[in-house]
Amino acid sequence: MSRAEVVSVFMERAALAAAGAAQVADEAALRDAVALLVHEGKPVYCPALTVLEQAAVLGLQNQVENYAVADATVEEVLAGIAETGSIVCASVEGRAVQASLLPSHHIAIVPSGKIFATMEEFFASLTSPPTNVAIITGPSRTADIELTLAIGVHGPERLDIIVTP
Amino acid sequence: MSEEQTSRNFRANSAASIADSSLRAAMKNATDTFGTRRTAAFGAIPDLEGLRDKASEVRMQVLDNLPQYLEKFTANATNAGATVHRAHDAQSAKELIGSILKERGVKMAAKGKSMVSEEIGLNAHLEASGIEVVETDLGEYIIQLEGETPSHIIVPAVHKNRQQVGRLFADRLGVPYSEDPQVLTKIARKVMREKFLAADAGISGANFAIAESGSLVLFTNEGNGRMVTSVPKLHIAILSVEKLLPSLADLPTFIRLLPRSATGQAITSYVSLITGTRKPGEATGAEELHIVLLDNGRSEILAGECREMLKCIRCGACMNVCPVYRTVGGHAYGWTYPGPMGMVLTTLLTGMEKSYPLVDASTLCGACVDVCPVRIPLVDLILKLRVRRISEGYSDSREKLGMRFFGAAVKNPAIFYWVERVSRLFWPVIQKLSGKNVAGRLPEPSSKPFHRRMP
Repeated sequence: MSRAEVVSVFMERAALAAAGAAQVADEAALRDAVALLVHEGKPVYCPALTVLEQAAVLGLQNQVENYAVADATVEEVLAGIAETGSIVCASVEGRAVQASLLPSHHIAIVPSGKIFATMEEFFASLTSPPTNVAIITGPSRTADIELTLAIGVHGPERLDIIVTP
Repeated sequence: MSEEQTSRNFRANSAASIADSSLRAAMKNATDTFGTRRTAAFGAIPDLEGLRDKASEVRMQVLDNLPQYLEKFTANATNAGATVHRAHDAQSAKELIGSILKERGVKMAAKGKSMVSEEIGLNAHLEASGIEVVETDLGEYIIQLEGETPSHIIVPAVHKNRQQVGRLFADRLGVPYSEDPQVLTKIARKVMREKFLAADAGISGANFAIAESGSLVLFTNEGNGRMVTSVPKLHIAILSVEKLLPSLADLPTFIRLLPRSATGQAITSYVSLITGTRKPGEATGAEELHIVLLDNGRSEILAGECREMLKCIRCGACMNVCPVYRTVGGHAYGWTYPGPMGMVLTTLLTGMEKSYPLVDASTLCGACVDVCPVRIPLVDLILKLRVRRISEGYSDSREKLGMRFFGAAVKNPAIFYWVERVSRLFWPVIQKLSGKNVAGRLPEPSSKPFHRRMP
């Protein structure tokens, strides 16, 4: 598969799992996409550790230090997996993996070069796993009552994925 | 949570379940839905049979070398900061977990779904020693509020309909009645969020443990599994010894099979890998992780003729297709594990004396064998247990006598002919004497038997 095909399968599978999936051309477009996704005035958490993260939340109102009180988390994730439409969050670079769990909205930035085609390729890259690795596919869900799908049990009600070049 | 085992009352339990129309409607809805979703999910998978072969091989490889894999897992998990314990039986596991919690002054523990904890009756033990245990999986929370046990290994409250859950929440949580699953889910989210943040400890099970990396692997959809394993400072994980996989490279096979077999999903919302404790510079992970590897009879199963049962990855597909489970539901089986995998495992783990009626809970149709992702020969195992039941003497003396006569009669055409003639003559008397449960279920002997109609 070419890089473009991998990205297209990734976005298609992510959407099948009820995640929002979009692709942006540059940092300005990333900033616009994030601004459109966050609810105006609601608290937003961003670790701002990478260039992309800093660009994504530049000028954004009401940024908070504590993800536990945030409405949304904006962050760059460790990887994407095209086969399953998943993103991967991990306890690397001092990141709190819970930031992708506690707020009701998770906005994940994935550079296209970090998307693996298959699960095999991803696990082969994980030679010594950090303490916590979460492979995330779509929002939190349950079917515990009459097998009827309900979204947003303990984790995010909404997962939006933005693929950057 | 674990109540007294009632597997010996399987027949009476089943009769009660069959009389419960709302239970039967819930079971039909759930098992039909599961069946459709599973079939649809596997439609997109190339070479499903090859995938099942591979999964079966990996599981057998683990079972054939279990002591080595356990040693490797223990060394690697310990290296990563975990404390690994081995518990021989239910009692020692409960006491161990109880003392870890008490020594650290834990008042309240948030718990993720774990069938092994149900098997050993962990909640009741901890609650008796003054520790509050809050089930955080929505299905488990519902049955905990109701004071029940799970009736399915994947969806524990499958026997309840939305009206029953709505009334339960209204009664116990003081919220307005609703029967909308989305509204009920939001209520649980709110109640539980406070519990997560206040809990002194998290207790979880694990779907797999990876020998090569010392990692625990949890498949969850709600996110509570992630909460209990990463938010509290202390995390205790309990799993049975056979849950090992050799390496992370084996995971893709099981990620492709387990969620599809269980709920018809291509993958669960979350697959978590927990490797030891929080390390310097990290902001996630428990500061203290105890992993309890429970034997509770597995070593004996491993040494016996039914060892393939230990390949089981607890997907629940076998129960969803089982005509007996679909009719009677999970509680009738009288212990933690229902359905085809449950009847075999219960008999092996708790012994024939406590569970012998369960070995009859199958039509031997083989639907379970067709769907098992790791190719457990469930029908063969059930037949082996039926033989064992007879040889251990757990059968009705009238049944034994009847089978002896039948055996003698079918071996000798002359005797068979005369028995047939005599029984036809006295059929009304035989029916009356033996009661409707015996002769009443047999067809009346024909006045001209088949063998006499042959030219």
